[in-house]
Amino acid sequence: MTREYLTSEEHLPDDLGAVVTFQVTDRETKEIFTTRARVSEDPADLTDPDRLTVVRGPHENVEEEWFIEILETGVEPGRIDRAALRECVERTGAGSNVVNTRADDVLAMLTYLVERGRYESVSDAARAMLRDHLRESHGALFDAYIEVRSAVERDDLAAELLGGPE
Amino acid sequence: MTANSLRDYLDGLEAAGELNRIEQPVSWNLEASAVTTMAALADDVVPMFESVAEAGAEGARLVGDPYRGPRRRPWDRVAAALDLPVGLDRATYYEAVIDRLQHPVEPVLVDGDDAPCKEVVLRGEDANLLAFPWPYLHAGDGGRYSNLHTLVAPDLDSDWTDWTYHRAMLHSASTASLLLLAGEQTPNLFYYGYERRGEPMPVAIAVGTEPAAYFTSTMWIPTGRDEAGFAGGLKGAPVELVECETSDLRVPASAELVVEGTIEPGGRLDEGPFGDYFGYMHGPRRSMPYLTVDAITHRERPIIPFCVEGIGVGHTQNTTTTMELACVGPDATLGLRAAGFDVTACVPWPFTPRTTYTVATDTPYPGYLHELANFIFTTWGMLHVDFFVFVDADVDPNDPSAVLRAIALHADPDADFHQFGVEQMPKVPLNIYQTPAEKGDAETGTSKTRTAKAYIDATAAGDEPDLALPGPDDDRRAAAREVLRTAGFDLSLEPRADEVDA
Repeated sequence: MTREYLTSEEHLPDDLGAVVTFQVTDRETKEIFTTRARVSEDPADLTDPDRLTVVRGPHENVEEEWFIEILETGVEPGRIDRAALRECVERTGAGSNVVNTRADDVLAMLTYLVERGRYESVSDAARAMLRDHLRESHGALFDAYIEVRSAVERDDLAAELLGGPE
Repeated sequence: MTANSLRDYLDGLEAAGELNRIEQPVSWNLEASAVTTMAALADDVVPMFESVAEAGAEGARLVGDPYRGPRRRPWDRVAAALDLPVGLDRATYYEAVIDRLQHPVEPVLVDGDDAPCKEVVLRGEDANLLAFPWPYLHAGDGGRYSNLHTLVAPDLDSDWTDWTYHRAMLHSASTASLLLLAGEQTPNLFYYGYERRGEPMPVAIAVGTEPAAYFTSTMWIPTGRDEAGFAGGLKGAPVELVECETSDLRVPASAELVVEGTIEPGGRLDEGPFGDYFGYMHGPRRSMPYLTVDAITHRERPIIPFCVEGIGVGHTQNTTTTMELACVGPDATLGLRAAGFDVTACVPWPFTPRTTYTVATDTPYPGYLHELANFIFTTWGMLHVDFFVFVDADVDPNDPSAVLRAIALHADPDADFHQFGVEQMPKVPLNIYQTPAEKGDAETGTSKTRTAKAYIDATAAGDEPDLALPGPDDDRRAAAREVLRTAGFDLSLEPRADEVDA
């Protein structure tokens, strides 16, 4: 362990999968950058761990010591990480595609819209609204998703037609 | 002589024995701010760090809170920078600054070859923010800061160029977020002009300008008026401006360092946490617009001034509190007079930077104070200032005990404490009385939850009794002199008039 990094709890993704993309600060230079990395509370989980301080709370005055293995440092803020997005596409393609959440107020309003005939079902309403929102508020992600999804389907089709390893 | 550059000013401090040139290497990482804090707490001279460990640019230097005023007479160093007579009392100093502000002098444009700020010109990857020793000020700050500079920003619809001092937090070699809170001039130009129309906004951060340029950057200069002319008025000569390398913006040629950049609409990066002027580390971190660096120009061995924010509370001064008293106060006084109000002075409360101002004023007719408050809160907006105290013209607004006495004697809790714009007024998310949820993370910077402003009418308004007992000041001074006499001090010397007034 040679370097130390810091991040805020709010930057740490909820789903700490194999590889995560998030913002860290180099504790020596104070440079702030977005990284693709593996993180864990146990250094034994990582091949080349460095220290990662996670600051918690609205005033960031609670610290926890984690560990990080930096994979890529040059991830530009706002840039769509296509490798990470492809992992998401492949993961959701292989598993369940259910979007699950609990919210009384959302359900009540969506139910109203269904009963008024605006949508066929609550699921239909939630799907349509979320897609519209993602298209408008995360346009770059939406465009990148279409490209990545097309690439994944093309690769899958090519593998099927050309034959892959049995 | 008026200081024509930061270096002139620092030389003047040194000649007066008020500068400590520290040759021992000091780190930008908390050490420089710690030394500066101790100097402020001890009311000591200004620390100048001649050798900064891992400074980056060759010979780059730091100076800690260069405009921090002496505790008893905070305006003295500003007065010296402007070549005002030594030893002015506060009221006379205010009138001298007001007089100069009433006579603006338009700036002149100089060629780049004649501009000290262009001794070194860096473009492309050479323009690297991290190659300079920006200080890391408080443990827990979100990053390194430039927080004592002039932010130069244009209006999209006119020739107006605004100078302000919104702080910048460095993220990388090429990016820095800016604390832009809607309701203030430059943030309004960005949020409601450039960003709304999807246009990139060119900006420049001029670091270590001549003192007059920085002073006007902190003042409440009216919307649409260039600070450059008022800076010329302050120094009694035109400020020299020079064009940027990558935009049409003009910056003070005297600057130690200029960061030229662009703020793209819709872009946001973290700003904070930061040890703020209230004296607390207080979150949450905010999403703020950020600039991308286009070029950096600087003098040889540039000097980067900084302010240790958060230490200017209680009795301690720093650059922010000194600017409020020595620059904003006279300017606000002039602004109220120009609006037709018969005020003696508008002065910040000494112990709470920016939060409270006291206005000493005549009250020529009923309803006058409400008109005054209405003007302040609707015309000026008052994002940072929460409330005003109105006292009679013969009360010294810079004397907290006198103001408190006026409140205690004349402010009826039922009739004289007024709220203004309940749940309508904007608030900076830097305060500590709003919860993180109330502050939120609004697109335009200010707290999501609105608040009220307030004013206290502590004017006598005819309720002064005819028969007053001997004043507490008389008793206190007599008691103090008696203590000194019994301790063996020679009391044959009377205090100087300015010491009494201060």
